[in-house]
Amino acid sequence: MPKGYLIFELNCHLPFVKSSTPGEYPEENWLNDAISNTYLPLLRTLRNLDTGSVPFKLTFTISPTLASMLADPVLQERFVSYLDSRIALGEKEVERTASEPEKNKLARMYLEAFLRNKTDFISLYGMNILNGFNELQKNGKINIITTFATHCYLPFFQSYTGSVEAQIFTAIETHTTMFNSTPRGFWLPELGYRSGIELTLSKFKIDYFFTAVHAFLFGSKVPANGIYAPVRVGESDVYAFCRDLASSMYVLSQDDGYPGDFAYREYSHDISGELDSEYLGRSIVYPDGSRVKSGFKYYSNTDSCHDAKQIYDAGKVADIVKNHAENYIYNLKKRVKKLLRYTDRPPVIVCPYDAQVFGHWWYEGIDWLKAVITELASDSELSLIYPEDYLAKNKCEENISLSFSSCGNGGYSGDWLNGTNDWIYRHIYSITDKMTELANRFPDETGLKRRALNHAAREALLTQASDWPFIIKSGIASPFASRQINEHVYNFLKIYNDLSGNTVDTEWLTNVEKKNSLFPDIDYHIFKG
Amino acid sequence: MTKNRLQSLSLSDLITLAQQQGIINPADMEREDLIDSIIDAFEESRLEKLEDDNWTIQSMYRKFDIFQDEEISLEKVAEIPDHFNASKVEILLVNPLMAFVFWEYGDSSRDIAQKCSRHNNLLLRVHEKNLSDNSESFFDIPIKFEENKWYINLPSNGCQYYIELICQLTTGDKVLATSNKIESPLKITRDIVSSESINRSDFLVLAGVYGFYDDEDGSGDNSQKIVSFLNTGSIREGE
Repeated sequence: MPKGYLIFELNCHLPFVKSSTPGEYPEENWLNDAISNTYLPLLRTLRNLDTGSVPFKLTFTISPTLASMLADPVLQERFVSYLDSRIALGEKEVERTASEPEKNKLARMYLEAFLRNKTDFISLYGMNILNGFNELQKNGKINIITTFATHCYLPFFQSYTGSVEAQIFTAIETHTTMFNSTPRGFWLPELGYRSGIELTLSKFKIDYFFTAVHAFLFGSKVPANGIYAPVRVGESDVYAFCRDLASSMYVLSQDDGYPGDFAYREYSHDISGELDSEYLGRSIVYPDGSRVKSGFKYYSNTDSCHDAKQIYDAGKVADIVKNHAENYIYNLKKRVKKLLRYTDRPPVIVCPYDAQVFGHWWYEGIDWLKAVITELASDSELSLIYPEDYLAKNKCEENISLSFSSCGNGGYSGDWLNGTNDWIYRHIYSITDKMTELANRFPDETGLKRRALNHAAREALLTQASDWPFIIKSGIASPFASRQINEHVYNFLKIYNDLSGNTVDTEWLTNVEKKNSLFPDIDYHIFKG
Repeated sequence: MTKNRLQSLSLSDLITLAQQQGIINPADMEREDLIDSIIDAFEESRLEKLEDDNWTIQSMYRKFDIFQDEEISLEKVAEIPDHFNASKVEILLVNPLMAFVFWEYGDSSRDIAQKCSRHNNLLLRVHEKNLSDNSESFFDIPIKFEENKWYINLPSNGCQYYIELICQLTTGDKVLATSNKIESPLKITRDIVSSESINRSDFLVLAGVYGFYDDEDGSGDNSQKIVSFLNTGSIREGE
């Protein structure tokens, strides 16, 4: 029996972004890059491990917005166009770098990766990579859980319990449709916890969720096993698992973690910052002159003390990846050994990571994950486990009231509420109130009015995404995030005002339904108070 | 931000952008100097943001950071109403020490609020209820009619707060709106260690933060210790 357990939770989420016309929003590349850099290579690796009979158990959160985009035929077609543009650029890069062997080798490597992605996407997954996740889940290798429908930041919806329930209901409906299973676990976006959510989750038959460290530390008492065993939350029958900080550092820190190794590929330096727009093409350089990264990156994380950038050597990193995987496991086992002096059961170390850390930012991250899984497969002391399996094996009846917390800076809500983004909340709350009003005012509508009401519910949920205040604060694509909020507010209010005047603008409604096309089966009654 | 991108913009757009970045007197600068200053301002802002953020937040930025150029916004976003014709006040907990309050007036209360404001009689009343002994108190924050939001410090830990938007009339206080309730959960590590049968080093091991930071003064009496190791923290594994 292992001395300790490891829960790997890979969080897959992006906000819903779909333009009316192809190439209108550079931000659609958030999805394209995620599929190309993370999800397809990750699925390939996990399939190979599965085929090779390597045992593993990973927990995935796939958010309803991301799942909706991955299943959207229009966005699937656009992803193929994205791959075609990168393949065309790759062919030009192979030619351009012909006189520079090191760069040329990398250009060929990237070109092959894009070609492989295209084959997998079209032939293996039939344009929908959710098929890949479903197959792994069916084989018992991954366990998929859900999160709020549009990834709202829970602590700001404490007073809007009806809306929180609408978020959970829609999430579970979407999850059940997409993954043919009902989720037992729930990811609280940004690990944002507020007291009482456990009772709501219990109503929806959710068994567990995850929190930040100080939810446990500043709760009603310090749990007997600290953060290394789940606790039963408040008066509910729902359990909370707590994130381990140190294991986050190894993977997330550029300075102190593995991804900053000088031999690894650098994320930020991309040919799109160097070459002319005509060469790069329309998929990289947008009509307003702005550029997105192309994926062709030739440099390593060169020591900042050196002036000259070093060319990335992909052949040199395999041993380093293996060393980092071994070091990770060594450190976790050392911790387990120490913890066993304090805990009354095998400790469980919870390691949640944004999936896009692997492959997208940390290029070698997927190989590192593979090495960790392979090492753990033959390790007798430490074992991967699903949260529900840990709960089944270990009686965790310690009852704790948890504290308000998040994974944000300072551990609370400042990233989602500050001087840059506080203007959005009066709109969001007003719309949430008005949606409840509509649901009560129109208890039994059919036909066109029902369509309008259902779309109003969609827009109300979309305003609540935690991504927009976060992006506004970050300074990356802030104007876009502001426009998204404004668009959802505008769309909602148009429907609200039209319904008040007993009219529906059919043509306009059809267009916005096509654009914000998620949650096709939404029923506006979920907002009924 | 790439130089190419900025060179494609008109001088007036560059000046607008420079003003947004806080560059002083951009209209007096040469075009090339202006472009260099804007690039420096963007880079400085980017580095500042990364330095201030914890690992998790940095990793979240990276998945959105696919742009070679920051998005330039020279157009106004679509107009949406700035108020919704309802007398309302809301309070949101930012952290255990601070809350955000916003409010607005409906048609029926706008006139009276404006009159009260002229006589300095418009205020936010912050109600505080101590959850351990149920004692209640309040304090007032005078506001102006033109204002619609405030960040307020929460003076005590373990308390429930709510806000009343009030006009003080000669006939008595008129409550225009009452907010939701929030709880300030501030608890300090010393409280935990002293109130429970657990010593400090055991506490740190069980919290997964043993060896995360040097406890310089040993007092452990500040919850913001959490902030220090969440945000930065040179980490080593415990022995």
